[in-house]
Amino acid sequence: MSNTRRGANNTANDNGLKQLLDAEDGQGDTDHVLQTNDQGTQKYKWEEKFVRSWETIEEDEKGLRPSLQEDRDTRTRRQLKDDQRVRRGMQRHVCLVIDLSKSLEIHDLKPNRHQAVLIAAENFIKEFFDQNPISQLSLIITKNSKAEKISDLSSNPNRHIQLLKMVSSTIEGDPSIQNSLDVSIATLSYVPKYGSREVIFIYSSLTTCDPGDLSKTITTLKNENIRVSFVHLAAELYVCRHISDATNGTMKVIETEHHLNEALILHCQPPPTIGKVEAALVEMGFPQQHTSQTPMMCVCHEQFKYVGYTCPRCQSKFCELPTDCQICGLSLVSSPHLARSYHHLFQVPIFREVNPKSIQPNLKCYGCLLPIKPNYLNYGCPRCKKIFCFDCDQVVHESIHNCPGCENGLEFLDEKDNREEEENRTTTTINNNDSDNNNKLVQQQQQSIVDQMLVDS
Amino acid sequence: MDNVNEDDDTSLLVIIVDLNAYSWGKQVELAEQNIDSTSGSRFITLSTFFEHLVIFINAYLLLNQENQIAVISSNVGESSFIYPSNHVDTKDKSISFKISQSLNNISKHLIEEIHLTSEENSSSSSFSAAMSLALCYINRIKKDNSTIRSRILVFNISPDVSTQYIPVMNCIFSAQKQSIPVDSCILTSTDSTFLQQASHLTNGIYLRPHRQDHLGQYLLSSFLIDSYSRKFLNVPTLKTVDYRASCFCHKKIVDIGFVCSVCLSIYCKYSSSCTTCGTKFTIKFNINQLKTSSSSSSSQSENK
Repeated sequence: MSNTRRGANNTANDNGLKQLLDAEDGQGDTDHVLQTNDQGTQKYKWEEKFVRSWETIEEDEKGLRPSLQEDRDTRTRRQLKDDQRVRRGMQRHVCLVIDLSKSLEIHDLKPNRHQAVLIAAENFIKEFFDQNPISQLSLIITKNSKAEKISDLSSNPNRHIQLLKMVSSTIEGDPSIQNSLDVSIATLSYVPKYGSREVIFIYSSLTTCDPGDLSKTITTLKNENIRVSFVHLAAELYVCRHISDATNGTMKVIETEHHLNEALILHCQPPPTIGKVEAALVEMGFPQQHTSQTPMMCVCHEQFKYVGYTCPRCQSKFCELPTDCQICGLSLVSSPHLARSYHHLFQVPIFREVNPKSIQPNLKCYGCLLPIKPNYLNYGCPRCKKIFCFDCDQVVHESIHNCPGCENGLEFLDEKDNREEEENRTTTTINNNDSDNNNKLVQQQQQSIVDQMLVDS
Repeated sequence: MDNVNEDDDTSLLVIIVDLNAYSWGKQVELAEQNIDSTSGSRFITLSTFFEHLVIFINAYLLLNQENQIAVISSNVGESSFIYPSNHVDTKDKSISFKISQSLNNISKHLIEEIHLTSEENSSSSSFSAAMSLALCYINRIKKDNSTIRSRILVFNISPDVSTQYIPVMNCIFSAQKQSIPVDSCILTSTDSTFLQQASHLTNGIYLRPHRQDHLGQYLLSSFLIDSYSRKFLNVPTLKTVDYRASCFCHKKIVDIGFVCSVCLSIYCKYSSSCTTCGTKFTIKFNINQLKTSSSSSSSQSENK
């Protein structure tokens, strides 16, 4: 390690010997060689993504300025959401299939595909349970033309991550799509009818080694109402596209490690249900936390503990929620877990970009009070007409899931809401026709100034 | 090296003050009643509360030169920043002076309002909006200074509103994810379940002072301590938090409930359809139903 580092300094030689000695002491200013990236790990300059800085420039009447298109694109990609009132499968049952074949040795992702996949899978598992606490996940790995289930459907992220770390060290052979699908079907067929069933592949190889006719497997998938999605590390394979299309899944090919994370995180949002899915009232227990004077044995670890949750039906003790009671089969949750899933059902409206020319001077972002920068991206909430900066827009949609402006005027908004929504719809449809007459009509119709500021994206 | 840094870390405190005129008006009545019965008063009025608050803010700002503060008011239908304010003030005054000045202005307005408001005007503050604003502000400060330790302190006086349950839970989870402790100080005689859950989930302090005339003492001894020092101290903790859900149909608290698989509404009894989302539930499958559903799915596939 120290050898390569010294070599790096020599080639980028500016300050000569002093820096060399400093570098050996480990205190030198090696900023121009070693850069810190997002994850806080150090990277060499030549490992970084090549930036075409000359392409991200826009020209307007005032001259050249850096383009905002890239930021805009990342935002639209992250906030890619369906219509507000869509029925979603809230209780999800997901099989995550990870391809651990020989093809993971390739170094096109940094440091190599294997590490990148493991990091991304771990992030996904954490984020998945954060967003869907009452859902369940099962891990399946495929290598050597076989598929192996390494963890059963459960909702404990730490157990999944631990098991993944234990088995993921060796990569060998070819993957098999059909075998992994068969294992997934066997796992998911026990799931009750009202839960949504999904299979998510992180696939790296360009080949698959299948024992039989894949089209039969696809028909079973359709009958069982299982949605199969692929995230491919290299290219779009016909078979992957075919399966995902046939089962209403998605197929994504990733560009960078960062994009891999993003593509997986998008799967954290519960997908809309397909076709006719049965609904049911599910019996659930809401246990209370008890601290007992004498230690009691917990069912999950078989250890004596003071603190725990007791199942309201059979009084057996558990350490963590949510879980299924191992004695009587009742699913045990706490009310915050249910509430955690509500934001998928009641979403914040997507903010629209504000035309920079119409921004009044001295306007401040409603969320953080920073002065609005007119030459940067700013957004307005379509419901409460408040203006937010780029950062607040991101936080509101990805973390808080409330619009502060709408929360403020909630009681007054509800009455107007329906009427205004209808008005908005008429204005937008007219906006789409670009003739002059219509523009006049629009101007008459638009009642508030802020409405004019909102540009249709 | 790292430990020293942790000790010296500056912190950001966002204070959410409930300024619901109706609740404060009721508080005045309670304070007057209780003066006779006990030696001290168990409840405080708005003006004394502001005095205690300013003392607390001064003490907090003196702890570290770079400590930052924001004060947000949560009022009926409107929550807004008190400090930093939208209106540009004279710059050479100290922060605590500015805050106490704007608090004085507010208290004048509010005391007038207290006499005007009746129960018919909704008695709920928009707490969720204040929380959302606080989280937005914390996010902005964190962008500039990533090592800053932020926390939220909530003074609550008005009762919980069930319509705000979802937005408040959203805020709590957002705070939990960013590990921002939510401390809560309850100034009424009833507990707030929202804030109990908020403080419990985010590892904050939940406190309902018994002697509110000594509020300043409570504030200085329990809420002044930063999150790092709390590890070494005995801070007030909640023994049990009620995480049982209440059903949507009768508002009863249930141990075992029925949850709609589509919209996650909770019911205490089995019913044939969900009143929230209007879904009809299938109780048992008939073989005929199974056949029709499988044939419909196969016909769909043929269409494609």
